[in-house]
Amino acid sequence: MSEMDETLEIFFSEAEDLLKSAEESLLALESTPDSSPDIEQLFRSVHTMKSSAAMVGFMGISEYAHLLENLLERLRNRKLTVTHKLITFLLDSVDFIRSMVDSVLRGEPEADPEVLSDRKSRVKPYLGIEGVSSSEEKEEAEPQAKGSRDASDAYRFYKIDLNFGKQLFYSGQDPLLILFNLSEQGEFVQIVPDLSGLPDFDSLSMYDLYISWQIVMKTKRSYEDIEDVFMFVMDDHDIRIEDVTSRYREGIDVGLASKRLGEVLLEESKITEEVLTDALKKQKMLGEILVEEGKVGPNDVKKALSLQEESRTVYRKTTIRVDVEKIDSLVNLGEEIGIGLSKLRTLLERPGGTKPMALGENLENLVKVNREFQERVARVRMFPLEGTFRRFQRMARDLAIQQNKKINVVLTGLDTELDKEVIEHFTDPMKHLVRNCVDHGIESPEKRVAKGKPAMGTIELRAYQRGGRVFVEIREDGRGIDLEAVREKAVEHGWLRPEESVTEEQLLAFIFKPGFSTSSEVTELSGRGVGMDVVKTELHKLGGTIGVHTEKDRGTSFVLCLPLISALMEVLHVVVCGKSYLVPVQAVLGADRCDDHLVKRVGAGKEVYPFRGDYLPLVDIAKVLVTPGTPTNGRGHILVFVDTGRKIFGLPVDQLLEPQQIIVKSLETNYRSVRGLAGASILGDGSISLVLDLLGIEEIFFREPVKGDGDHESEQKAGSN
Amino acid sequence: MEKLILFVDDSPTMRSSVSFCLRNAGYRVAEATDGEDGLTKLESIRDKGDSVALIITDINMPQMDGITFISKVKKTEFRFVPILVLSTEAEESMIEKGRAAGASGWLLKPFQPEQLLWAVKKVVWPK
Repeated sequence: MSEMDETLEIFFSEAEDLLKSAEESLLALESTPDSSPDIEQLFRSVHTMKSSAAMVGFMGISEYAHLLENLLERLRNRKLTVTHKLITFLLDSVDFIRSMVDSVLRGEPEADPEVLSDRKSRVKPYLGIEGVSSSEEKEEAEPQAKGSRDASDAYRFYKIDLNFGKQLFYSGQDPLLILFNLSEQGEFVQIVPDLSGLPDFDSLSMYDLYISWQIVMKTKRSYEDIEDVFMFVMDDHDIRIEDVTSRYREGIDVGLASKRLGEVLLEESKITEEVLTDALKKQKMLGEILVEEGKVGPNDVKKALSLQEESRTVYRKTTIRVDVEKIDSLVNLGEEIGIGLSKLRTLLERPGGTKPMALGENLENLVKVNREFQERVARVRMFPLEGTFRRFQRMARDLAIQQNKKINVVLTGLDTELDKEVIEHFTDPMKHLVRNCVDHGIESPEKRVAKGKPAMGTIELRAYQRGGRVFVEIREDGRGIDLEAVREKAVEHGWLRPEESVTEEQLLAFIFKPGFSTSSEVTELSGRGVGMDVVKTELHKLGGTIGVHTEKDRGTSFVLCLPLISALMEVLHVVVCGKSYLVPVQAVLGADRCDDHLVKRVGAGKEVYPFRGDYLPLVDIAKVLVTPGTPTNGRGHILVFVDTGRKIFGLPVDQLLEPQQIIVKSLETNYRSVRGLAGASILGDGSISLVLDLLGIEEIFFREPVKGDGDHESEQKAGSN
Repeated sequence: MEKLILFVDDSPTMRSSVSFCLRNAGYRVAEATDGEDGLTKLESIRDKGDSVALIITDINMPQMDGITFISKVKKTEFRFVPILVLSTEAEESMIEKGRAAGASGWLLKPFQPEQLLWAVKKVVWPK
């Protein structure tokens, strides 16, 4: 959880800066109403606010900032003019966001839903949607098809923890009266008294309170109404109210669905942790019981299990479970598109011709809605890694207990999203790695202490997106891979002459070779190696790669680099030698007009260019990809600088077009995999453009394989399936 | 019988308006002019075999102030009776003193009848 706290902390400090900067821009605008840089600055602050808030789950803030962003976009496009009134309104809006941030900082919900929706409706007149626009025509106000958003009338669920102090009765308060008053605010879905604080009968004092309660209630009342019940006890007693509406559907806690019985019982304090661990130890698999009783043979069980597993795999591969809310929002957006279209038709059929302004505005709105639609459709396939990571955390924990090891599993980047298919396929290799970390990486507590390390080992799972790819790191602080042992093994297999000198990297690449080690010779020697070749092959099939880094007694880390198949990507559209390519925006550091005098030649036809105090190599895409029939008519006159996470280099291009969001289509499924290309996409004008795989390009250009990744030939062969 | 509320305040205007409001809402009200008088009233209520559901008291009063009154009540058998303070005093340190003495809640004058009743409902069971 501490990662979340850290993220929140960062968000809060960022929010403070953004709001301050927004305010500054607004005040500057008041004196110079037409200053574009100030409008830009303001727009950026609000935009960042929107996405950062969404990132940490403060949807109220995010949605409100989103509306403001729309307003500012109109300001940017000169559809609105800066007036004193507008500045006042915006300053007030900034204050409102600040108040929401302050609320969440205090651990309260962002804002009363009614206040929020009122605030939102006050932004709308500026958006030109509801007819009060600056455009010359007055359209009939459209009913906003955003049913799911104004949910002020819907039921909310609150989880309330009542931990009154022992002394409650002395202040003349009666806990039952408080519960009674609370019951008048709505319906109790669940009320669980916690009696664990009760002392022995002999030391029981009738004037002290020993019981605490946990309540879940369903109500249409606001958070403030609920809080109000505790007005007189809030300050002196530990009372926590949490809006858990998102977890409840139709009065049922859907959060429980993914929990195990033991966890649920534990949460409701029906059992203690020890009782649970005890009971779990006694638990047996159905197969084990049947085999023990001689009802079936062990092989039959094994066969049935593998059949079942196979069926599950296929089922998982071909079906997808989508939150109804996600679909609802799609339906709503679909409706909005419908409305937009009929509006356009009306405009077009209007006798006496249409006004291009009105047409353009409607079209623009439609484009925006459509973009959101596409984005959400793509998201249906995307899932956060949280679930998968949690499973690994659980697995590592269970394995550690079995082996009497102490391991703390830290998870970072849980909301990094990956395509369902990618998640499915990388789970097995990942499982392997995590298992290896526990089995062979982390030492026993005694050994660790002897080495002067903390008895508790740490495994960190970390995910992040960079350069249009998702990276997953597994890092542990165990014994590290014994490179000498790896060397011996390699010599044994004849992959290496005894006297041959190799780098650490080359040495580590051997652990991914088939036959490096077999499970029968449990790898105490190398500490690693069980089926690493399988891990690598699986990742390759996905179009992913794996790298390894190790240090004796400091630990080992694996870096998995995964593609974003059919994922939504923000790309920069560039043209090189008349061909259009898409560069993942996350990797772009900046662009510059190429000044030929600054280009320096080094070695055989290689060129470098100064960028941010460094000379960076220039990589000619056309040459790297060897596109047939391409006239190599000199270098492009614009340079796009990219960072792949390992190297920074410049791409000369002829033209730099608008950045856009695209859905990447896999080349592998539609054609065959091509090195240097991550996929393709169909652009707005119907043409096809290729998405650059910067890591691939880097590899080709620098002739340096990805760490621990020896043979690339297999990639090209893999294309023909 | 309706629940009995003891109201302690040295201002006759306050006493009559608060009493009116509470009686209207269906409570019986006993009035006292300061802390000392309040303690006396409590004794006579006990002697009559009656019980008090709530005490509402002012802070700044002659003879015995509200804080002292609350601490004294807490030493009698009425110590579990909820006590609300109704005062113009909004000083945080004073509110803290009241809380330490055992007040259940703190309300500010001038009072709105519905606010007062809303507060009363929080500490007195309905009939």
